[in-house]
Amino acid sequence: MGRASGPEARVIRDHLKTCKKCEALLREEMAFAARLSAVPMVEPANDVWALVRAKTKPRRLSISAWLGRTRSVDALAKRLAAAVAVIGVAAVTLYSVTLNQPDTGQEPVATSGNSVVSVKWSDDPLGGHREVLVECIDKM
Amino acid sequence: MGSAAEYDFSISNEMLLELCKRQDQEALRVLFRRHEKPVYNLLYRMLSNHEDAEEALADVFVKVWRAAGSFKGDSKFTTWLFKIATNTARDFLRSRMIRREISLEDGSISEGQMARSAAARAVDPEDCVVKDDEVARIAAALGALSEDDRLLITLYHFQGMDYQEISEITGVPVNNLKVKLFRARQRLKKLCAEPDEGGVEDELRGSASESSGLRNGACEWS
Repeated sequence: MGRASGPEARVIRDHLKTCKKCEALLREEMAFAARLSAVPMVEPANDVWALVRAKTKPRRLSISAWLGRTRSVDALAKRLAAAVAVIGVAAVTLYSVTLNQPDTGQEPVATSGNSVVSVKWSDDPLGGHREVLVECIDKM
Repeated sequence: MGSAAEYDFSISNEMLLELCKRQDQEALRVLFRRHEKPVYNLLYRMLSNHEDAEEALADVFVKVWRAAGSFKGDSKFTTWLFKIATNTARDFLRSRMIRREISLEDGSISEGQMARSAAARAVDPEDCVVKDDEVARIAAALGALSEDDRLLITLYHFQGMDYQEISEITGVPVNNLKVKLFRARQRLKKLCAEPDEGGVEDELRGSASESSGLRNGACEWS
C-alpha cells in the first residue's frame, strides 16, 4: 500500500500494535494487492505502429505551413518583416545595377527572329511593375 | 544527433519528443516501442476490448506526435503520456456511450442486448481462457467497476505509479486520491468475492455515484 514516512509511519506502527481491527484490515489489503499483482500485462495482438506511421507522415513544408508554424504574432511579424526586407534589398540591388550600366547614348536594339524589336531604357527598373510588387508585399 | 537509424534506447523520452517536433518519425517509433505495452495495458483495462484498445493506442501516439510542441517539461514524460492515454480512453468510452444511446433511441437494439454486450465486454474471452481462474475473476470484476475506479486501480496496481503521478494524471489531490483508491479497492474486492450475487449491483451503483460526484466537483478529472 502507500508508504508512510518518518513520524507518520511511527504513529501508524504504534497504532497497529494496539488495534487488531486495523491490523486485520491492513493484512487484508496487502493480501488483495498481492492478488492484483498476479494479473498479467496484456499486449496488443497486432502491430499498431503501422497505423501510427500512416497517420503521422511528415508533411512537406509549404509557405503556409511555415507561416502556420509561427505560433506567436510577434514571431510572424518578424518573419514578414524579414521577407519584406529581403525583397527590398533585392529591388535596390537591381536598381543600382541598372544605374551602373554604361550609357552608350544609343538605344539598345534587340533582335528577335526576323523582326527588329526596339527596347527603351527607362529610369524605372521595375518597368511599370512597381504597383504590382507593392501589392504583393502588402498581401504577404 | 546522428541519423534516424541510430536512435536507441539510451536517448531520453524528452529528447525523442523534441525530435518529434521536427517531424522525425523515427523518434516517434522509438517512443512507441518504448511505451506501447504499458499504454496498451491501461487502455485495455479501461476499454475491456482489444480492438478498441489497439485503435486507442494508435490515437494516443498520433496525439503525442501532434502535441509534441505543447510538452512543457513540467511533469515527467510518462505522466504526460498517460494523461493523453487516459483522456483518449475516456473519449472512447464516451463515444461508446453515445453510440449506445443512439442505438437505444433508434430501437435497433434492446436494453437486454445492450446489457449482454456490456457483460461480454467486461469479460473478454481472452481473459476467460487464462489458466488462472483468479486472474479471470479479477479481470471480470475490474471490467464491472466504474471507469474512475478502474483507472485508479489500473494506474496504481498494474502500472505501479505512485500517488503523486496518479494525482497529476487524474487531477485528484493526493489525500483525496488515497481515499478514493481505498474505496475502489474495496469495491473491487467485493466484486471479486461475490461476482454472482446481488451485492454487485449495489457496489456498482455506489461506485458510479461517487464517480459522478467527482466529475461535478472541483476536482474533475482532466
